[in-house]
Amino acid sequence: MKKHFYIDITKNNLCKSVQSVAKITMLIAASCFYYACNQNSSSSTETLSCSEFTIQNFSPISNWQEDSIVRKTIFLDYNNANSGFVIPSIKDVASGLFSLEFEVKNNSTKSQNLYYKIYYQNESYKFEEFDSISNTENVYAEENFYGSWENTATGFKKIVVNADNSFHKIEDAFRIIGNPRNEERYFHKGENNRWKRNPRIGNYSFMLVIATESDLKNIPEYIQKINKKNLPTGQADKEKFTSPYYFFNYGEGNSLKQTISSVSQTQLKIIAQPNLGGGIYVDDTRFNGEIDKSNFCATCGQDSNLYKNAPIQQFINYVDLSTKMDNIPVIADILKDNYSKMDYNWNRVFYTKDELIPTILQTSRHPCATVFSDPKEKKIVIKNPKTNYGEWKKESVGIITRHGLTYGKYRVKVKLTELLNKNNVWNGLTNAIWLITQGGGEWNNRRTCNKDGGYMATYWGGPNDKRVPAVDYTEIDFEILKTPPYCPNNAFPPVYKNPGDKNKNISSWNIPLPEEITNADGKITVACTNWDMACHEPKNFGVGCNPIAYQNQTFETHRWDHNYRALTEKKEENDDELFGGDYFYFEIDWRPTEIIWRIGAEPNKMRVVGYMNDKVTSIPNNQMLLIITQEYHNTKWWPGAPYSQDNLPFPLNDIPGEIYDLTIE
Amino acid sequence: MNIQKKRFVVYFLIIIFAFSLAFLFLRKNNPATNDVASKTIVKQDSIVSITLLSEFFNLENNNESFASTEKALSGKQSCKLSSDIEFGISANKLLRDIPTYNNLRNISLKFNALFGKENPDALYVLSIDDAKGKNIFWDGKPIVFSKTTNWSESTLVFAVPSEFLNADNTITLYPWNRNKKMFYVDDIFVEYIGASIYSDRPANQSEKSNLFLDFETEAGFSNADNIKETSAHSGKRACDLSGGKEYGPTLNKKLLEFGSAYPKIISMSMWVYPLTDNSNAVLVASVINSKNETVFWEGKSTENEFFQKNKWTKISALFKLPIEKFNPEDVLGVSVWNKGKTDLIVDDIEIVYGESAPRRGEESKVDPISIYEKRFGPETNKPPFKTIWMEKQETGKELIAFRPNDIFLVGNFDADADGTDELLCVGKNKQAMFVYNTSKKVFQKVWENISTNHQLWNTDNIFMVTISNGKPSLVIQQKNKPLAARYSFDGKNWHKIGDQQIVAPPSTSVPINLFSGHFTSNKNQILKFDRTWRFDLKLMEDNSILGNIDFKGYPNDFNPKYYEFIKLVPGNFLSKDQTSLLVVMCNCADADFSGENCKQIEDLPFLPNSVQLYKISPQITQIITDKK
Repeated sequence: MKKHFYIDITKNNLCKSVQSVAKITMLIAASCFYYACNQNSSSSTETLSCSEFTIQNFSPISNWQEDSIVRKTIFLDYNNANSGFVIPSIKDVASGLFSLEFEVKNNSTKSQNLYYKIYYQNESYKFEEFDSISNTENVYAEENFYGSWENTATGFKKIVVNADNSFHKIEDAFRIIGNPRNEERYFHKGENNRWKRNPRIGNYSFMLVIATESDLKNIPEYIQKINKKNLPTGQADKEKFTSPYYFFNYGEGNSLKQTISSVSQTQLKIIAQPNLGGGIYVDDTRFNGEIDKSNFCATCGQDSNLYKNAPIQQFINYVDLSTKMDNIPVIADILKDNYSKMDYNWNRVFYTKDELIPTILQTSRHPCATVFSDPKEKKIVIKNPKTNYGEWKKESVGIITRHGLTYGKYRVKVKLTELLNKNNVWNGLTNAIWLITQGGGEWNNRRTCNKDGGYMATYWGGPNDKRVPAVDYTEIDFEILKTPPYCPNNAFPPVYKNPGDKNKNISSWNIPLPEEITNADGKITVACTNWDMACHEPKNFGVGCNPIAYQNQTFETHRWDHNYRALTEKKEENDDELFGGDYFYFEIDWRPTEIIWRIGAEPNKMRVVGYMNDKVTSIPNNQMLLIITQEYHNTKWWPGAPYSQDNLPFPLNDIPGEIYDLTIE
Repeated sequence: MNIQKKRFVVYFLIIIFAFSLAFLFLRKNNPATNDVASKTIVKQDSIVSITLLSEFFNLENNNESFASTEKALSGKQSCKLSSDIEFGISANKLLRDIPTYNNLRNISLKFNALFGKENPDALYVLSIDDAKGKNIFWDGKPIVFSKTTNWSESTLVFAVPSEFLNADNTITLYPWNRNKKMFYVDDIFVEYIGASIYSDRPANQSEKSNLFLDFETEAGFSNADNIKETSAHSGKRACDLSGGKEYGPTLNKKLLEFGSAYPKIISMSMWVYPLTDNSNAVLVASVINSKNETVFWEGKSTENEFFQKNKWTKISALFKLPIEKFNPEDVLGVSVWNKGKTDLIVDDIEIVYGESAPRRGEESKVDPISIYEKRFGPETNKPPFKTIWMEKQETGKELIAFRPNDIFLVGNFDADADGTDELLCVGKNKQAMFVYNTSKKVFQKVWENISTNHQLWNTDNIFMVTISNGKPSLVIQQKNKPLAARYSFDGKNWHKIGDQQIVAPPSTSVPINLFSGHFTSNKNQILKFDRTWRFDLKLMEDNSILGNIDFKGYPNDFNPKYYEFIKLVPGNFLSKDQTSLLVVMCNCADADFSGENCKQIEDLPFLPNSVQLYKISPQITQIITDKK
């Protein structure tokens, strides 16, 4: 017969739970293995012992997917998640808490106080806690996403275990929430903005630590209470968090004789898969002035339901005034109108300046007019709007997620517009799937850059921008357009002949593209970029073209100069394959020490098209949002591009793109 | 010829004459604009003075305290100097904004002044400030007093010392009313004059900036000793730099060859075939001045790049040229330097000097904000114009043998009831007449010359259509005949019906043609075809341009406007009410082809010679009359 040790935990006042021990049901343990303390284990079925006590049947999330033991999965609940994700939500589990269970037996001859604590940690996107070179804690391990009781004032919870040679079942509860260390950095006006450090996606481990009263005294406060920082003696400026996973598995906690730390075999996989039919919210601060609400509807707008629950928002590109261009006065459907290179060549020569249309690249001024959320098919449709005489425009369109995350494998299933027509003329659009900083300033600063003054201070500044130790700007891109690779260096830039304007001599104006361009006529370039803000800290920081190997492939990274804020790899791919079919997958695998860009026809047929690691670039570690856009770029941003944006027509018809799925795992 | 047709011919000739005059007139520069482009003022290929930049200030848009509406030479405003106003309008120019400012020598200032009774003893001042705003040069010249009560024009020339020609310096010109008297200044014309090379080449000569050197000849090179028959990337010859040879051929161009606008960049590529590992060939661009000093040098090397042995690999480079350091006599050279002295072959060097030439014409007057705010309204006869699409119609194959050199005459020659026009084609080897069969959608032959009278249908004759008693007849003026013969078509053949005095036909060499018809409505409309520069076809009604004509429905790239040699033949081929347009087009291999007659017709595979019929389809036409 088991005796149950109940802990009353309420959602609103977890700290009281430790005081609400009701009783301990004595357990008749049949048999157990005896281990010397300290016991570290990754088994939930094992029995772990030290001389003072024994534990068994540690089950960290016993009330979730009870049929699964090792691998459990939960999807993020985007409903009402503006203040941060909570795992589990009350939709997942009525109590909104995971049940924690384990059994403990007092091995001594008298009743004793034992102390336990549950820790959880994201394992998919973490730095290894142990640095095998220095034999100390990895300096970046403090960035790992780990937590414990929501109330960080609660340290180890006390249980009184009688010396009855029986196992006693302990039941407790906890949940995974944002800002688990309750860091002041994420507070605003006294309120804990847990959404500023949302739980990471991926696999979570659970570590139960039980200690005797004597050992508890040797567990530092900064381990007992995860909001506390370690202040090494004489190193006041190096105050830092210490990972409990490091402390108990590699550090001093590992040698505590009467302490058992047990990492459960059970792992919880958290996946984010926002419902794309769940609506699009409009943030009017993204639009200038009073906004036009005539296109608002149930699935796009500003009502309270969308505000609380829509996972997606309309994205408005930043418009740089340098994007002003004098465009040819041609309105055409490049994709459908058989628009040819000869058309391009004639149009770029035979219009006079006064016939050109001076415009700036535009973004929508009519929210919900160009983005649509389809609740039936759970998809989002975006469209670059057509243009009319007198209302010439090239208008970018896109959507952005509303909930920031750090790290994750972002995979989208999309059918974005084809970029080349059957004559392989570019339509001027750039299809982009990209991550951008959630912004916010200091709370969302990326890791300090400690070399040569730090990061370039601003995203938009020039090469003479000042350098600062920390910035909040981060960006990881897929940008897909018609432009040549920058590498190898010997082949760049292509030599483009200058056209003449003698209409009685075709060869004067109808200049062929160089062969390195025509050799890849049906291809577009997948540009994979990490905006590292020119932090010089990575060991192999470089400029120009530099090879980097990954899984039997060699990629060429490219950076223009030491102050250039982005590192790019380019790979030419077939436009028909990526955008000519029913759908295609794009994946940004953002990890703590590397970024991997993959594309493929199916999730199990992905291929790597870009790879970078922390040896060559500063990997972002702040919170970012995902954006999917069909953008008009100024081709001056893309040196060597064979088509110039101002010499491409305005769109005659809407140019749609569809987004079928976004999965982050 | 009925009275209506006679009037038409007369109007037609008058309009052509008027357009010709207008064309010639408009070609002259009108200085009364705010910005005047650089213009050459002396002869070819010598170092001369040219206007690097000119500016005109009419003061109409000034609102400073000196702006006055009391007096004005032009417009409504001038610059008033008075007891309160000591300094007048300032013309400021950052040196870097003056093309090739390093060649600036003088500033010519032409202005108009209106004085009171008293000589103000004022000065016109040139000052130069450095980047920090500190004055580093000052010169003042007296404003010559005139007792006349009218505006008087004056010209002052300031010399600009070369030591102040720094890109960041600012030049300022202003009238200084040092005695605080009253006078007015208006219509100030400033010319920044520099030394450069005169060139009468057309503004857009950028095709001359492309060079491809395949080494099949040695022409133009220095250091050409190493060019020989060997393994070549193309052709038979290449530059062999094996055996320790360090320098390959060099192609030099004096900067004066580029006229006043030096290339700001140079793009180059070459193919390299290393015969050993670790090649180090450098593609070099350099500029050497007349003292043999290197003003600029930059190169791109195969070192550190993957240039595989025994394989052709291309190297490309683009260098920005610091043109502010250059002088006309400097030499821009492109060369190959075998720095590593390893064995290698190079071939097929491509050089592009500078960027694409700027487009012709003045800057667009369209306000981008008006577009953004959806309040753009087109101005009558000013671009941008709408596009009016003509859609291709089926024609069959009867006309494919005809070319723009041939003669095409249109009229309802058979006077049939449907009122549609016949098309008479007079070619060197074939003369035939066609009518469009609307049900079969083809031109069908209704007559062909089978007689042996080659003199009559000789294309050197003059053919005209005249209208007599409402019926068109054909007038043929043969060479050396005192009278022209008039012919009528009876439904089967042409018959002579009389003689008439010779009438001079409209000149075909006029670059602008006007075709009247009813292209979209029953109102009289005109197609204006201007081929002076590009294919420019506009539809006009009541002297207003309705839009630019473009074409749809043609196969591949066979858009009429892309052809080198075009003849447009309007006619009521498809119906009596709507004018359609037959386009006879081909390409021409004549080196000096002017657009009129082609000696060597060229059939290009990507743009085959063709005859196409177009009409404006109502469903794709959206013509909105201009608002103004």
